[in-house]
Amino acid sequence: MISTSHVWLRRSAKPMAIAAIPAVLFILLFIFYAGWTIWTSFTDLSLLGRKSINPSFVGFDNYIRLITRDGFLQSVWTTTVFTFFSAIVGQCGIGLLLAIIMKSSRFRLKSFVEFAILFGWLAPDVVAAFMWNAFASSDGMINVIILQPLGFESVNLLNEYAIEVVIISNIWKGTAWSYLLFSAALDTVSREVIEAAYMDGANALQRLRHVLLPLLRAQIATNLLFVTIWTYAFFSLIYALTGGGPGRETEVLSIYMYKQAFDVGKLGYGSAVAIAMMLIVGGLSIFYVRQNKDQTR
Amino acid sequence: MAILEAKHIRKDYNTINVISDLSLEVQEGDFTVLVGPSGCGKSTLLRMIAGLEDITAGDLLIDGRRANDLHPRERGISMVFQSYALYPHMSVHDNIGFGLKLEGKTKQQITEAVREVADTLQLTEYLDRKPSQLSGGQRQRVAIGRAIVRKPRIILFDEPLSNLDAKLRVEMRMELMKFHRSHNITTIYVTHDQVEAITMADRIAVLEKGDIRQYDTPRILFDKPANPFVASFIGSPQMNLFGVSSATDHLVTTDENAEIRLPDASMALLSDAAVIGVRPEHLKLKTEAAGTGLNATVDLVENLGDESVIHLLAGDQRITARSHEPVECEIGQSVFLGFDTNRAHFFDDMKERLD
Ligand SMILES: Nc1ncnc2c1ncn2[C@@H]1O[C@H](COP(=O)(O)OP(=O)(O)O)[C@@H](O)[C@H]1O
Ligand SMILES: [Mg+2]
Repeated sequence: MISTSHVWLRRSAKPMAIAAIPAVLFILLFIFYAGWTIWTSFTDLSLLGRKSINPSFVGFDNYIRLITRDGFLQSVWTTTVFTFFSAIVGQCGIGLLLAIIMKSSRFRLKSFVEFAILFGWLAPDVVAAFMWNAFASSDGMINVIILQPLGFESVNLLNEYAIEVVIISNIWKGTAWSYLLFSAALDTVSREVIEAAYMDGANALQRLRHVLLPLLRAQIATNLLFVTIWTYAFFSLIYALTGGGPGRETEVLSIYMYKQAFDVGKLGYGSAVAIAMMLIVGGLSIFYVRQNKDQTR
Repeated sequence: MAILEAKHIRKDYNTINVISDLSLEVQEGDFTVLVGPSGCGKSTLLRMIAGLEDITAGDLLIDGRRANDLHPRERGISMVFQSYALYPHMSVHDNIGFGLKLEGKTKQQITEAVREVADTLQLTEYLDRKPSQLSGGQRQRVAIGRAIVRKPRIILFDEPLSNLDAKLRVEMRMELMKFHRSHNITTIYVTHDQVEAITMADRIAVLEKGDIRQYDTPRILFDKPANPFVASFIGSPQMNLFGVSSATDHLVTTDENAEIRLPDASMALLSDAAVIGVRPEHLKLKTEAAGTGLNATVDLVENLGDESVIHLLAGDQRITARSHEPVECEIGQSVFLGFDTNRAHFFDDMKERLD
């Protein structure tokens, strides 16, 4: 009997086999790369010197060092704060709020806001970093236009409020994605259901809490999964803006890993950081997917 | 006393005027139907009454009190939506009790009120289900339950039956009528289906282009339509309307070149008539010309079992006749369509009924 569940592959064995070659090669490449990283994380491979040619197997030393030394755990905390405020509260929350507000707004205001949001998204990270630098540095726009005329002393926001600036710039950069996703999701919500809640006497906050959010739960969970993964491994904007500084204030995991591997030169330790990052993100993903499953059970 | 009064209501959507000047009185306990073709402003009017849409100008009075700026709850109004709009993530119990919960009622008060409503609507055994696990009829009952649990003064329906198939629609119609009879809540019901309107309503407002063309009981709408629009909208098949182009004592020529003979008609009426209307069931097929009527050719015969609908042509005028007796006629055959002038409807050139 012919199985009908994979009709799209039937009677096309030969072309499929040929088309599969690059796919198989890439899969091998992925496996090789993951395997290499895992193997490296158990060695003291370095970028330069004797250990770059002749690394030795060190067992769980690298992983033990993750926990016993300050650097890693501190970066985990920085990354978590950064992700929570810039992705979950910022991008996801503001994106949802904007999508709800814009849904009932006039066309012109909506186009204007959408343009502004998309601009941040489309700007390359390095350009965005340059712009925020121009805003926040001691002779930047915020100081010159707002603080100095009001009689405040000029401050280098990138020094004094580095993590805040980094978080705000990432919200600015990434809200568009969440906004677009939630705009599309809102179109699937029946207008009559919201109106029914209004007739039932629910105020705006109650409509949001008791009706809209439960109806959007699946999309919100999916979006949280996306933005968390992206933000947890986010690198370029922060690196270009602060380089992880001042001190180590904005040194998120990706920057910590980069510095350990390529500045300090400990490839083995860097690989262990990468694997640990992967495990954290994987754990969060499972958590979100579970949430989603409970809902649709 | 009128429980609801709309006075010179106007509605603009930005620059688009949908309703220009509409007045309506609804009596307490009545089942009032707003009927009209799609796009005539029925939903807009209903939503203004509900409080879902701002009223551009004019006054809405409920129990004699101006209600324009009141929230639906303060108006004592609730609504059953076309899609029923149940909360899909809540159980039947929570759907019905949601409004009470927002009011700050205790769990026990809510449960009692929900049980009472569920009893009258035969929903008791479904209280734990989600809307997706209910049939169409049960969903409608939940929507009604949600609407009546807070004991509204007026309940509004916006085309609640239009999503259902024909059989279920008839069943639901009867359920709604029974519900109204037993609860006696003032009801305003929107539909585009004149059959629904006639079977359910105490009073019907026929709307066209944001205006009420006639507001009366179904009987009067049917027997004495105030204008050609109402005449053609109420009744199925539609009333035949003849536009008078010229008239002598005994012969009327219509705009479409049909000729109506009037051997002994009441000329006083006819002298001003610009439009003559005759319902299909009041046209009698005869083989010989006798009395008032017109010559026509049979175009098509629809046999519906217990009755026949005959489509005919007179000049360029399309005519429909309906007969409860079996008719023997062939396509192309010439017949005489007789009618009683007492059962015909006459309208003047301002589209007003002549009586
Ligand atoms: N939000 C709106 N904005 C602009 N025009 C609208 C809006 N809602 C309805 N209309 C217009 O008002 C008219 C009446 O609509 P509606 O009351 O829904 O008609 P009905 O319910 O009788 O079919 C229609 O021409 C429709 O296009
Ligand atoms: Mg409508």
